[in-house]
Amino acid sequence: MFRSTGSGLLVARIAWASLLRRRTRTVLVVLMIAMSLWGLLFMQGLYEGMYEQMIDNAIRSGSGHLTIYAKGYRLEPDIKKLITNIEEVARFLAKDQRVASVVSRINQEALAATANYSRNAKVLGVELGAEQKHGRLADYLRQGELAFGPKARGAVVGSGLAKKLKISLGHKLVLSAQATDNEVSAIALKVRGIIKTNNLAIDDGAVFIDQAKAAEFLGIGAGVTQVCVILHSEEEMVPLQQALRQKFTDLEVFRWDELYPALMQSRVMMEGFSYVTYLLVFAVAALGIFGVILVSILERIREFGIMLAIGTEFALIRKIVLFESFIIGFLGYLSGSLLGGLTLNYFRVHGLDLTAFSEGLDAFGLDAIMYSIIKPDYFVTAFLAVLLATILSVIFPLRVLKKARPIEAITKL
Amino acid sequence: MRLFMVIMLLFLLPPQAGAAITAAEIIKKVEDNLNGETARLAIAMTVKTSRTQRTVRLESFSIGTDKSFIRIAYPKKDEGITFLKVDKQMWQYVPRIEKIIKIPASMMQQSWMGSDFSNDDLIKESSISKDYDANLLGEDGSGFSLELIPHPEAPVVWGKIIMGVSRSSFLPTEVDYFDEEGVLVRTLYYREVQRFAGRLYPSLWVMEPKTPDKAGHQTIVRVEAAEFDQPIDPEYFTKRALKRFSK
Amino acid sequence: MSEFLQVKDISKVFNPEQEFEVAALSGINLAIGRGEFVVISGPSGSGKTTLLNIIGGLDAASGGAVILDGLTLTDLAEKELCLQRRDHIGFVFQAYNLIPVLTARENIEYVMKLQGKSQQDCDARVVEIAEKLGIAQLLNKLPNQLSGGQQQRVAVARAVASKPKLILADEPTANLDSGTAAELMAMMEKLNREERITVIFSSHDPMVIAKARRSIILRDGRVVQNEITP
Repeated sequence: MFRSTGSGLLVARIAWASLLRRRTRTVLVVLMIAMSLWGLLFMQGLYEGMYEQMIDNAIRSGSGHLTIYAKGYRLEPDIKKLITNIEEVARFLAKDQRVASVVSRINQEALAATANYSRNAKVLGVELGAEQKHGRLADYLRQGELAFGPKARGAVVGSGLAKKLKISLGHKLVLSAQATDNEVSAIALKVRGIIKTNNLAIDDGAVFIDQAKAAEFLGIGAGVTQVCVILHSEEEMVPLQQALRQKFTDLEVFRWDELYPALMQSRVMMEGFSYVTYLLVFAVAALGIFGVILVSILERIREFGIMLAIGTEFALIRKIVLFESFIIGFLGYLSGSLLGGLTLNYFRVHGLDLTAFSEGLDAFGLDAIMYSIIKPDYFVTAFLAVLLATILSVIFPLRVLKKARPIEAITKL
Repeated sequence: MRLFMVIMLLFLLPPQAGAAITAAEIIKKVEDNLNGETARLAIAMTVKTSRTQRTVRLESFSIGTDKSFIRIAYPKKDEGITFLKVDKQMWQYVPRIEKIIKIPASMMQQSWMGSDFSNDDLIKESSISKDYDANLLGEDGSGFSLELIPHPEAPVVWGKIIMGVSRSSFLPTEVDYFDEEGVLVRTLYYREVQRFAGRLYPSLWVMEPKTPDKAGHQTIVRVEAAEFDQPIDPEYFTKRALKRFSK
Repeated sequence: MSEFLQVKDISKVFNPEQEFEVAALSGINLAIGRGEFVVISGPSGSGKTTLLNIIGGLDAASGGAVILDGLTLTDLAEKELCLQRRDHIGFVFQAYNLIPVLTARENIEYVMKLQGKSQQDCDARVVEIAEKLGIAQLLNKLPNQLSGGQQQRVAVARAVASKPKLILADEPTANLDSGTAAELMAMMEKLNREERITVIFSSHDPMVIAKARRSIILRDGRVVQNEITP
């Protein structure tokens, strides 16, 4: 690009010196780029953190990465549609390296009633030890304990359901549900724990009870309704789903995004959102640089004229202008990234405390304290956006310069 | 609630005089008096809220506490609706849409025909003696006061029930239902004991919710006619009966 | 016989075929030898600047040819012309000669850097020239820290640093007081003698005109006098 390092250094020297000469203007544009980049990174990291949290909650408390049902269960849930070959499934999953944890559950629609209120609920017969390893349910415990008591008569209730039934720890809860013999079976339970996952399906309807107790209550001899699997890496979801489908043709295997399409939409919306914001950053950077460079070129027509007169090729002047643009963009990018990175890291560790808005947030299934995430490709994409801006924004000003015929500017004194 | 238990009537046994009677024995007598082998009743049920009032007439057939069949006779828009309860399952037939609906667990707590009784009340198999421990709280010339505490594992929502029993008829006079916190949720009054074919039976039942949100509500059941321990066609207790006897 | 610089029948018309068509130069013929010290004078509007610009390749002639050291400049494309200016022609303008963001030293070595000379060579030449022109103490200053006269001296240094064959100076002393002007002229004479650089400049100033050894007078775009002064 440069015939020798001599002229390369010359370009750099003139570009840098020209920018320093108009310090305030340069600083303002750099600041503009930095601020918009900072805002973008912050919003992106926070928003992505937000929906990743939602997805994580749903996976840990609800479906896992993959859920296995008996054939036809998802379309028409029925307590009689059970997975009977549990050991075979468990063995298959235990051998697979991709699997991090597995739990099995018995599910049934039920009515939860107290003397004053009754609500539709979902009874989930679970094994607490496995669930804790699987989804770290203890993190979601708000009151009481995650236990079913010595006689397995305890229940852990979702916080929304508890609120609607106006019950709390120690209260009696009567569950009625249809058992496998088509009769309505009822059981009295004592509330031992209240759980808040921000997965609304769980919070507003779930009653967790001991799995063996659930089997007894619902007349199930052997088998479970659902097996949930959490993987080490989300990328393994599709291949493992296929492997399971092939091996167990009498069962159905679903991914979380197939079960919760609305959550997947958050992610898709996010991608659209981030394109728009990168576009905004690009526009801000491009316009800022364009404005500054254009003005600075028009100011320096005579200067460039002299340089051209004494033998500078136009190409060198182009390189100087481009380099100036690049310096501005790069400084803007660096400072914006630094600010953004520090802010994101702070909120990654400490979280953004929005407990003042927790009621509104609850309605959407969002945690009151939001943690942001940082991903390297935020910075890569931002870099590309700014780079593109620096290159594109000098095209027009350079054309203006050429048309202005700098040599004439000095010769027509 | 024992609307179904009520349609069985045994001939009233005179109370045992003299020997101190235990709470458990009292309860047993009450249950015997409210149940019978078979029963056939004609009932007018009036549901009152603070603003409206409506009356439904029905006829019911039952065998013990296990099987019962109800047909709504009035008003015209509800005429022909039938209910069947066999073991712990309940079905309803609505002629207007010509559909038989099985009442699922989730609808159990919903009110039956708009009254202050729930579907669950109609179905509840739990006889008092099975699910509750009875204590005698006190007695006087006219009757006994019993406290019924549910067994810890009994699937009943009540925290406790207080029942007043008449000494002369061994029929309940007033039953108070309390929630776990001891707050009174509703009261069922049995009044106007009459003789039906030689058997003493309360002909007026009033269910009054006591919670503030249901102030002014009342369900009044009047037994207009009753026949006990006569044979009843078993056909009534099949699913076919829902449609067949709807007309 | 090929003279160092030949101007053959050069004409320049501004705004041709338009309402304000101006014939700035017509029929200019000159032959200048290597190492001459030439002044072009004449009243304002006589075309001095235009002629200098055409000779230096900063402006295009409407007709005729300029041949410098055997090379027909008027036939060259812009790019080659640019290189000729870089390597063989030095310019000193009336004002605003220097690149404002670079120091005096950097301005002086600018063209050498364009030519790709090593930093060592540049440094050596800068020192040499600075001593000759007495501006060594100004080297690290920026143009806005220099007086008019100092700027012009640096401009001259810059023009000669790359050892061009020809220097064109357009009214270089116009903005200077007489003392400084005399110094500047002395400097240019010295360079002309010692480095054998051909110098052509335009001027009003009689003192300056007196210094020249060939005097060319223009009037209304034509040469009216072309004499070697004794």
